[in-house]
Amino acid sequence: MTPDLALFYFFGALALVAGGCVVFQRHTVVSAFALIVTLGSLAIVYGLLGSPFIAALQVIVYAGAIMVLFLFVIMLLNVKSEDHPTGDRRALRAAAVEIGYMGADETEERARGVVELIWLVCEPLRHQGMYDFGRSTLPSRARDLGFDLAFRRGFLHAPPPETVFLHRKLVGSFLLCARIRATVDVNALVRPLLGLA
Amino acid sequence: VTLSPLQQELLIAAVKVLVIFQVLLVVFSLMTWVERRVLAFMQFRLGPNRTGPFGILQPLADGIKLFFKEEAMPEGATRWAFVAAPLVAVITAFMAIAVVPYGGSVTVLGREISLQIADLDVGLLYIFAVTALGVYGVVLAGWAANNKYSLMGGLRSSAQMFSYELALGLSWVTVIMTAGSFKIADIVNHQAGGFWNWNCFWLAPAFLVYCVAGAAEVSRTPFDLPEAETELVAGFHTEYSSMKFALLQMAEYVNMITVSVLAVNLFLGGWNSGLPFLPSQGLLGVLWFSLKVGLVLFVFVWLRGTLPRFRYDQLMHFGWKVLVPVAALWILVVGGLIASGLVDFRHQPEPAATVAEGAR
Repeated sequence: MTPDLALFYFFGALALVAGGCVVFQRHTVVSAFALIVTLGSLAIVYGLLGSPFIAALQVIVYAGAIMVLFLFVIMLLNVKSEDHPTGDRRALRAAAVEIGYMGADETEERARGVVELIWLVCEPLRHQGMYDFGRSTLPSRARDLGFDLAFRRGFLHAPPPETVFLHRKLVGSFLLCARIRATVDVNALVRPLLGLA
Repeated sequence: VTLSPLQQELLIAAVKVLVIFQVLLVVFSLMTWVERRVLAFMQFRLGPNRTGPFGILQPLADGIKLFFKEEAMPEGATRWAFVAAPLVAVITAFMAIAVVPYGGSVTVLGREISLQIADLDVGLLYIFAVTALGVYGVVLAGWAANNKYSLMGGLRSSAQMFSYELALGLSWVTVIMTAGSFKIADIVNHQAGGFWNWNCFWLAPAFLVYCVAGAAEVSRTPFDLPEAETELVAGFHTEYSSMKFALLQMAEYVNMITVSVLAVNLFLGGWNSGLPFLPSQGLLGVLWFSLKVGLVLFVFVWLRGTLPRFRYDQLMHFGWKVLVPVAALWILVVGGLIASGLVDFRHQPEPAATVAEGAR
């Protein structure tokens, strides 16, 4: 294989891979940069095919001017990543603020963490069919997330006093169920109480 | 040991790249010292004068300090982008210089070697493309740090860079039209003969636009808004420290050197001495070239010691409403003059072709 051909295959493949990233990346800025890589690789392919003029124009016009404008607008509007919270999580967040688990002005990163933690500890309730408490790794997962939230993201907001003992009751019942290796269809027990039967 | 022609070419190219790279590093570090020293004299101070004779080892001391400083990265930063930004900035800065000639040609061991790393047919367009990519370093740096001052600084710098890029590009057009080539070597050869053939006289409006837009493109005074510390702390590189900061700084200085080198090649006769009785072949040409580049770099420092900073709205108005129209109008004027045959911009009968062919 001649060096030209090898370069052609390499940059052709790079253009395709980056093109895939443009479509499948959820983060807007990463998408934009992937598009720049695609345009750049195309420019190199043009150069390899013997038209350096088109290659230079491709970089100047697309990669140099248009994409800068794209990025500029993305950053100016501060477009966040695409994974918008679903209805459930948005409601969870509003409820968490209402109860006082976190302030309404909490940073996006911490607020997401809190919602994630609540979502996680409700796992037995969401589980369809028998939930095996004895085999569940929920305690360690919840602990990791809690540590991460407190020590890395700096979330040190104390819950309101009237809810503190509620936590202990819930955690205590979970650990008790785990100790006696209970398997319970929690979802079926809870649904009538929530009026979902 | 005998080398095949391809191996010889590769060896020569590698040596040229290494030499240019080292020269750029030396000029960059010297420039930081010259700038502080000259600026100090202009302000009736002494500047760094303790490290070595006349303080000339100051850049070395700074370099050592930056190497051993702790790397700090803000907690909320986007890691890959924070690391990539200085690399993008510095790589594009160095790439631009690859197609710039710094002399005619020298004969080593019976072999003629042109003093230029790569002589692309689309040399000027290549430089334009690469400097356009340099903006991404600034954009990424400003965005990745997750700091509002960085972001504002990055947005401002990138807006400034691509506004003035337009005027910069338009100022080259008349140079390309009169020389009839995108090759920088051809453009330099077109100005051979004497200083009265230089483009800075024949195409004075383009030269003025180039000087202003060039200073703005590399964010030098009076266009150093990215460094408006009362408003933006340190602009897009607020959160950078140690070697990453040094890389961003290096990119800025190398860009400044590129702009100076281009000013010399496009408008100030390149490696030509400018006086017919002074020869400009071979290494002597490199000497004239270096002197001219040094002069332009000095003017950059001189400007910094003299002029106050533009306000941001003034900067934008000036770029879009003055520079771009002037440059565009000048293109029409030169085009009209060439088409009507009123002015002959070809100083000698076909000089570019003969010299360029000889250099092959």
